[in-house]
Amino acid sequence: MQQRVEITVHYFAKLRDLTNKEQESFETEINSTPKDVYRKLKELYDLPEISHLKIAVNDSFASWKTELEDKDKLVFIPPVTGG
Amino acid sequence: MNSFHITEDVIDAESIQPALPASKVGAKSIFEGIVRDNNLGKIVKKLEYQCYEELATKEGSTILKEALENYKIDGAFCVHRTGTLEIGETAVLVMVYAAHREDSFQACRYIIDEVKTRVPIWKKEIYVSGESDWLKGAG
Repeated sequence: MQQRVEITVHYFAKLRDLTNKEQESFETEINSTPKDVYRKLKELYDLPEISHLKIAVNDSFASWKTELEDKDKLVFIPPVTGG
Repeated sequence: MNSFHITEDVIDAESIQPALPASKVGAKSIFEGIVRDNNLGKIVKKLEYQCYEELATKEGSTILKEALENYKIDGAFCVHRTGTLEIGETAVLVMVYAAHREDSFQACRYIIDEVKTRVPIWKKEIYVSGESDWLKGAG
């Protein structure tokens, strides 16, 4: 049986509006990357293209190729507009 | 006094008195970003800021550290507001202390420019017309 991990995905700004969620648990295959997760979420919600986003894993900027582990916190970061 | 903060409270520049470093300080530069009532031809009623606070605090602190390493300054402070802001309220404040004005100007400019492009904070404009929109950013 294929091993699975459960992560938490947090949404901000436009992504929060599109998903209508601040966060959610998401179960995925072991060794999944943020890119894999985003591809699946994009099927569920009308999310923007991946090229417009950065990501953070466990509150640090990370690569789209990071291998996610159980209980990781994943955040997709739209272009920032503070100030 | 080198610190970056996120707050939901009103930012009052007059009340912020970071502990001054040594008496060698000869210049203090302050930048305040203020909510204005128009953007791209639309009349803005108010703004809503959302923030990924854990990463914002981390990235903001990194920016202040870079400013201290790259400019001859004695201290740097930055606070950014979140939540709903009315027209005329301060959204972000940067304060830099240095021996000379040139260093304080440059570091202040560096900090606000980097904060606007790197710190995970997002701004939604709510218009008088009743519409609203997240600003798109440079990314």
